Amino acid sequence: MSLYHPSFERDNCGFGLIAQMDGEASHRIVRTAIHGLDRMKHRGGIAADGRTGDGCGLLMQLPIKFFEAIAAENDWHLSRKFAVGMLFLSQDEEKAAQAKLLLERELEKETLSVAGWREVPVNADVLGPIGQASQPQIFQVLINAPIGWREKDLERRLYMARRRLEQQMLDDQDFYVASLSGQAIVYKGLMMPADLPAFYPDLADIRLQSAICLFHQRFSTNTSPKWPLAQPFRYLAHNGEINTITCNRQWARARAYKFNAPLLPDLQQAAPFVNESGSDSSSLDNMLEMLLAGGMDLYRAMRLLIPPAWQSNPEMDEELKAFYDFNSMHMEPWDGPAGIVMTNGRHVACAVDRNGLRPSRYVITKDRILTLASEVGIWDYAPDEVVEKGRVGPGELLVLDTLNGQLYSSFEIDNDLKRRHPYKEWMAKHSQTLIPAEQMPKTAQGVCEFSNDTLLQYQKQFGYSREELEQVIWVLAEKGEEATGSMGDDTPMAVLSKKSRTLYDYFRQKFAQVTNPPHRSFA
Amino acid sequence: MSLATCIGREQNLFNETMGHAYRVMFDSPVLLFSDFNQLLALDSTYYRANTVDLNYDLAEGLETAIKRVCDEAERLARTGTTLLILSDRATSKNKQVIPAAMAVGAVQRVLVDQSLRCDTNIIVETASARDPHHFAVLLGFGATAIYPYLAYESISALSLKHGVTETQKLMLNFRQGIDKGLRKIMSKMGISTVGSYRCSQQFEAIGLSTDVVELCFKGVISRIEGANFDLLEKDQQVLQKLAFQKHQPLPQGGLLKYVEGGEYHCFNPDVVNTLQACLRDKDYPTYKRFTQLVDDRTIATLRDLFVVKGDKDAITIDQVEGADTLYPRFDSAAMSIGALSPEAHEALAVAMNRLGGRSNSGEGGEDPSRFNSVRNSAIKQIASGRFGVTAHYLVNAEVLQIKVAQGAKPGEGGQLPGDKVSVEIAALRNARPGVTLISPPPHHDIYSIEDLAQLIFDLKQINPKALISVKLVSEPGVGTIATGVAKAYADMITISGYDGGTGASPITSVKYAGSPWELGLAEVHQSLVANGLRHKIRLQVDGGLKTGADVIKAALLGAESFGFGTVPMIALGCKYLRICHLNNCATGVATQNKQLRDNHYHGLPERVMTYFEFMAQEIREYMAALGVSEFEQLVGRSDWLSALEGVTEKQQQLDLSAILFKPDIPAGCALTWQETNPTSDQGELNQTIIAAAKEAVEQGETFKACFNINNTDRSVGAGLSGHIATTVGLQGAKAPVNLRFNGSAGQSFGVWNAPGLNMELCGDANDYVGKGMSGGKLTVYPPLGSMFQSERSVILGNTCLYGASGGKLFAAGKAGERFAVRNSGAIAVVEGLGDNGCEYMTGGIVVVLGKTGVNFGAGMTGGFAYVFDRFGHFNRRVNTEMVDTHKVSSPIQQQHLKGLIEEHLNETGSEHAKMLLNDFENWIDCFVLIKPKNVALNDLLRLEQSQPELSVVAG
Repeated sequence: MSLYHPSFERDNCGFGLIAQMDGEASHRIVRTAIHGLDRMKHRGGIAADGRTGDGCGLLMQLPIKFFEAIAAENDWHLSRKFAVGMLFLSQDEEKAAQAKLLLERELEKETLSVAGWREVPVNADVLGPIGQASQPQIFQVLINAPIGWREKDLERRLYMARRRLEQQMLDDQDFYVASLSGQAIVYKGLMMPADLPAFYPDLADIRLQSAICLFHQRFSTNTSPKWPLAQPFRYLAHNGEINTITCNRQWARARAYKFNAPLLPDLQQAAPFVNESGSDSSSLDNMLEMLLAGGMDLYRAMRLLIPPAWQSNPEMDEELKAFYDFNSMHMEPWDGPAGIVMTNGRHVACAVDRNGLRPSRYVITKDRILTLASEVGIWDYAPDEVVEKGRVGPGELLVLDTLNGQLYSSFEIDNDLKRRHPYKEWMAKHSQTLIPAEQMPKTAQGVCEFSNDTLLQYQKQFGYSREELEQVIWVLAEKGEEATGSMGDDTPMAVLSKKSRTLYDYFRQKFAQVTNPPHRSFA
Repeated sequence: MSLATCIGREQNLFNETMGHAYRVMFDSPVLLFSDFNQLLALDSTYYRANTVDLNYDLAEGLETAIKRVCDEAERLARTGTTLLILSDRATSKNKQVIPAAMAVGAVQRVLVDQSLRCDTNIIVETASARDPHHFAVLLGFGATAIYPYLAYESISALSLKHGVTETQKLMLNFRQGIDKGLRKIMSKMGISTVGSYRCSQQFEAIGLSTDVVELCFKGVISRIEGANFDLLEKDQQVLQKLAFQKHQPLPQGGLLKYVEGGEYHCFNPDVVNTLQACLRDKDYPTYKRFTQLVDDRTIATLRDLFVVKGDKDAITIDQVEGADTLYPRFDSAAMSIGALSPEAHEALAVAMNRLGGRSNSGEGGEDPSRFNSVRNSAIKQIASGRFGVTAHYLVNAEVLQIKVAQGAKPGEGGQLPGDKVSVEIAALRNARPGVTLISPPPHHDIYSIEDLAQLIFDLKQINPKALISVKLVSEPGVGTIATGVAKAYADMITISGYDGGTGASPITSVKYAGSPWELGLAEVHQSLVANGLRHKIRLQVDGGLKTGADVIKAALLGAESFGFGTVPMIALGCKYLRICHLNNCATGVATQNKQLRDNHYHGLPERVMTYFEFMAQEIREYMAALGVSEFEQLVGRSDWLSALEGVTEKQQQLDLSAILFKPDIPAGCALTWQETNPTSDQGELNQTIIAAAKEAVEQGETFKACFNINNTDRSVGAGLSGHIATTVGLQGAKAPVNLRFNGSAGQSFGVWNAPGLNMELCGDANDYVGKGMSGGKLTVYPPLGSMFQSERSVILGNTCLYGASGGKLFAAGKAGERFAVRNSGAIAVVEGLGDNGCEYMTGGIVVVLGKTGVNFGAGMTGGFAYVFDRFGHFNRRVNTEMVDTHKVSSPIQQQHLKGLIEEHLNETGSEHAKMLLNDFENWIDCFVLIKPKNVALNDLLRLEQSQPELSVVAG
């Protein structure tokens, strides 16, 4: 067994989005997104073969007209409301057939019907050997919704069908649902950005139009990139690293039984909600889609997952603090460097972590096209076209609603959130705070309870030493900070030692290096 | 950052109702007596508390006892207990105690599995926790809050002994100290709130068996097996027995400093003295006595459990490659001027250069008079403080090492206390003598792997001949990080163990952060081989290496180059007193104190050379015995190592096979370094610029040219700055070189800009503009006739002027976060900033003609800033810990400010600047001057204007 575990893998990248603010779909948006992504290829990684990228992709509005044309060509009947699934299936025909069968079965349970299966045209010649070796079969499934269903109903039932399917497909490592939605679709894989339209001729098809296109290029810390880990995921693309991922996954598991959404009575069937083996970004995507499927709106979901630094923010008012305070008990921050772009087909959003550790710059041009990315200047708009240049700062959330063409800043979003309920009043009424020791009368501050003998007995039993009392404990008590030392540690580790060491000595602290930054700690 | 903790039952987050507000909040998970009592006294309808005793009968056994505790916890949680108190308080002679961390981890797992954790909080009442690491472990495995009663009792007793009566203050101090330590531990992982730290298991367990990990610490990384329940219980029994033997005193300890009969120390007085004796007398037999003391010690490191067994016949020593070709494999480890005295620092450089190895400058710059001489450090380090890192520094190196982490305190920054900042040090670091200098925890231009790739690209652009090295510290996952580093086009990687060197750091960082190098080195080697990248990386190890046997074992595990820190210091006279951080090193090695250096420093480069000569000889003897004529043949031959059984029962439980695993080599790759790792991007625009300007620069003539630029043109100017620094030197181009660009510049525009190079950009720029610039001028402005207002639009990215030490920057627009962080001399005018502006600034002048973000001026100890505060909100955004704010009232300062704005207008044509100047008398009232508290208002201009002269003195 090797010490090297691919599961330690980290990733980072370049990311961004292009959107026509008034929701006017065009192929130009898709084309420009690909061009922009190509202009950030220095932010991505290339595998040892020099041709296989670590993964890149696009997340866009479902191009309705394109799929209607495809359906017409194939003589499939499409309902007025339909969804499309983008699936990676095993190269093993038997397994692929099994996956299709199970998907149809799960869709049937939801009274959804399959209009047709489409083998997505691809051109594998543009891939490097590593990308080729792991390339899955890529299929699209067109799904008809019953008459009368609303868009959100369809999304919810697709979510449940997919979760049930995924639970049955755990043994098939190649099976992966890139997207399954009536709102959006994902094209991604292990190629260089410039080769996206060559690999997927769909992307070069001018009938494929969208008003929104998210893009992402990955830099992973290994040379065995995987197709499913290419981004965007179903809702978002993430640049950065969730430092707290172990904690978030554990709490997602611990909290699962508390999640209860009236709009999805069978939500518990979708558990576990968050994967524990994919990338940190994919876990975040899982959490977000669960919250959205359960009926939470994008604003609140994003503000819960990646809140700004609210506790000590001098610019924030009490009502807003109360909103974050109220919600903090039920969701811990997914903390770490993060530049995130996301869309649900109508809204487009960008969020940045509380410390502003990932760059995110935007430009709005005269034709009302919003370009937002890790870098500025990723396509060549003329200087006289630029109306506005800005950036998304630390802890900010920028949302574009393509239905009404409005751009919402954090300020407006937070104002909406804090007014939804009287959080401050609720908190004042029902939460209590311990009285700090400084404010307690002397009598309540405790007295020494142990006799000298008892104290000695306890100290010996718990492995205290005279050195520790004087050099560690007393220094803390006298100065309020830890003692300093130098010349490192030259004693044996606990397991090698012949002495009785405390259990704590068996643990070594981890720390951030390279793929994410440590912080400055301040009081 | 926040340690705020709350308890109560969690609710369904899809609903928001008044009832969801029920909870009790407090500021720290470390409970004082009164906090704990308040919790117990809460309304039992909502907050019922019940205690589970962690003491058990020996007959029951530790494992069974833990399972029973879990069952009890589950039962209590099911029946409505909200505060589950795990307590080890009820000790008795006939009972054993379950280590609190084991109980917490096991109970946490059961409560999560049983869907109960969100209705219950785990409160630990324990005697065992007394330093920040202990609390971190408990929180990391699931504790909500901790009441460390024995620490408080002990403090009470100590206060009597020390004659301090204010015990309450002591308790509060203790808690404050633990809180600070916790913040530091969380910061190391980049975690901001304790809510996101709780249960995050940010540890590697070293030496625990699988059954212990499964029951108590499920999910934590544990790779070499180790102590099982029985052995942990036995350890407890020893203490238990001692505890109830009334007349036995409390042991002295010896974990921190060597004590006769206490814990073994690898650098014990015997080892140190024998080493110094052999070098003083130049006596090889004494050296062999030293290596015997080390190699035959009681088992103290993982490598002590390995034995070397080759499969070849021995050869004679003449058949083995000569010492001369071994020396290039040896480097002295990074130790800065500042940590070391200048004499010791130079002695190391001289020794390594004469020998053919390499010395490392450490962070903090180097006196340019040492360049191109035997006193030059061949390895120049780039650390987070960027002190003294200029174009000139960077081109005078064979190797450029990016210090990502440091063994003694990975994940932390550093500081050079004011009393060590002498006139010489201050000159090198572009600071004022006596002012504490802070290195931030992260490199502000490495928040992510693609950022590191960018920094490596910057370095390769400015010094194409240098090899780029990245220094990492061992921890689980360092192998994949190293793979990423290789993909980011580094040429060398150094893996350090946790052992650490001179660096002063908090005791818990020294003792608990990072992993041993044996694990890290093996993991990195295995990862690089498996990923087909090993042949592109020269792999180095450092951390407590002392003897030829250490080197051979490290080579077999994959290292082909070796770093030595402590031993060379001992060779120079260090007595291992562990007081480096106090600036009164009795041997003059690690101090700036003139007297100590003059009277007590007797270090000679020859002694250092003797050490390496002896060691090379010893290595050659080993090689002969192994039948290996070339060192290269040893690298990565982990099959030549086998694990010993171990002496103690715990050692015998270890499984070291993963360390010895030998991966298959993919086709076309190798087990050792074969080739450099050039970037795929050739930096074409830089090549074009150099080709065009080269001759003019070399002839000392003026030069002018214009280019188009876009975001794929990165580090533009670096190539020419490097060329200027190489061919002309520190002072920069003799006649101005003026370049003009149109478009959007890629990252690092004008990085390490050299004096004499002026670059003008019509358009906008990405991150890192003017990073490390030491002279010249950068001007950025939007195209004439742009529709947007410059003071409302972003024109520069994040982290501009990071580590700059001179030159000027004018930008007609807003900059991003962390503008001018660690600036020590550049002058800048911009029209707005993001958060954390001027952080850790030690010199230079920043004018902001618009809004700033929050936390302005944090940690700023030099230089000053003017901010245009039109709406009077700036006082909320400035961090006044180290700076204060003033009106710009003196006519000289007003004139100075006006001059800078006029210059800005001239350079950029900014409409906003024009507007301010048109009515300057009125607007002047809106300006705020921000300066370090310890600098007098009247001294500001004098100090800043004398700055350039200081660096001339240094030259």
